[in-house]
Amino acid sequence: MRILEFWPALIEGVWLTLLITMLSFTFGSILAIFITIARRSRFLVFRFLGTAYVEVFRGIPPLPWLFLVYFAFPAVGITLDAVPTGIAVFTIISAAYITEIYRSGLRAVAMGQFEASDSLGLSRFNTYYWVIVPQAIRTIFPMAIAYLIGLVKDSALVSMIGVQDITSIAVAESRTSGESMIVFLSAAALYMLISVPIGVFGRSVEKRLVSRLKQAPQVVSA
Amino acid sequence: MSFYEALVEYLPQLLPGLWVSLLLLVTLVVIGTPLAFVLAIGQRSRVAAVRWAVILVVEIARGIPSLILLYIVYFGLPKVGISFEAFTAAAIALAINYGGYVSQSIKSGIEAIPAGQREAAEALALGRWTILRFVVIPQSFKIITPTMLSWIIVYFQTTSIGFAIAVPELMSVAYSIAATNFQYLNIFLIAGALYGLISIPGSQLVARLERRRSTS
Repeated sequence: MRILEFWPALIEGVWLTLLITMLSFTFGSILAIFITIARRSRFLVFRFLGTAYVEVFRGIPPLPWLFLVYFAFPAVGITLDAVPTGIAVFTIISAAYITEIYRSGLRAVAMGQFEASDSLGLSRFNTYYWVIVPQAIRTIFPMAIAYLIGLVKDSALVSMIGVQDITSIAVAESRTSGESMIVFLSAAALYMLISVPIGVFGRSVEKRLVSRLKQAPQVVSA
Repeated sequence: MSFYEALVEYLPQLLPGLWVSLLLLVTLVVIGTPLAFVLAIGQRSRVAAVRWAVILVVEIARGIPSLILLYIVYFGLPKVGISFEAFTAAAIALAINYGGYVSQSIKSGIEAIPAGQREAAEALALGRWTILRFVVIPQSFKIITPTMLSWIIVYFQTTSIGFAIAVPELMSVAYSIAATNFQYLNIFLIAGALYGLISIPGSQLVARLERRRSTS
């Protein structure tokens, strides 16, 4: 069998898949902090805007966003190449999903922790920074890793706007060689080779987090 | 062309695409849900070989990007003599993907039923299948339903990848209209809004369902 024949070509695409996934996840996690702050604000406007952001970007699939930015934005004077388009779109979308992850992580922390911090006279910032977040991390981390693995797979959609990621190269290789089955199975294996180590890494960090805090993480469904 | 003019002009042309998206969703759920049950129950088989085989299938179904799975079914399977037309290929690929994810929700729903229920049924000398079918699964539905509905909403959005193999769903229709008249902005905004108009109220409804479940 010629199973390994297409690997050298496909591996060329790995770094763009990784680049788009990792940057989007990192930027998205940071952006999500601000949206979470907005959603927990005292002001209704901010809470509304935060919730609207989450609903809109979770409610509309990535493909229309990719096409909107890549094909339609040039008409209003914003021109982005395919790779920055992919990173921008997946940053914005992942921020919405990660905000939800933060929310369920924070919700899993007992109310008494807030009250106790209040009675110790901790400021809002110190309450979150020293008391709430370290506890919430235990629930947030596994969910974030699961989301990251999902993002690796979703990033395949950037092939639709011509980014030369694993999927794009697989499509091109299958066209020129005619070996579509072998090519796409190889691409599938490559995606699993990326996501399985992320999962293994996630579980090992998770274990350390749990043993350090001597408490089992609470599982909150996504 | 203003957004309003575009809406009046293109919405009627986009609706047939939305209809195909919904049809694709119904088809994949109809195929995928029984598959999910089989995969969930298979993972709890007493035969180790069956258990491991099913776990492998689930991990592959969940581990591969839906787009690649779609290409395997549509472009790859004909190489071994199995051909489907685009709509069927999309329904099968997405059903496998969906089935993998939903099987995990079903599995945890089944596991959430207190062991006492099983023991009581065993004490009544009910068979293994009877217990599963009439005692465990009916009770776990309350737990499974909201998660399953969330997955259905996710897969409504995922039907948009049908674009990749030219299933005439919403994204394909939107793209082909936009490519002829260059109204990309208006058309993709309308198409995006159509997805949102179904998914957003849908997920609000699921959230309400879930809240009601957790308070009752």
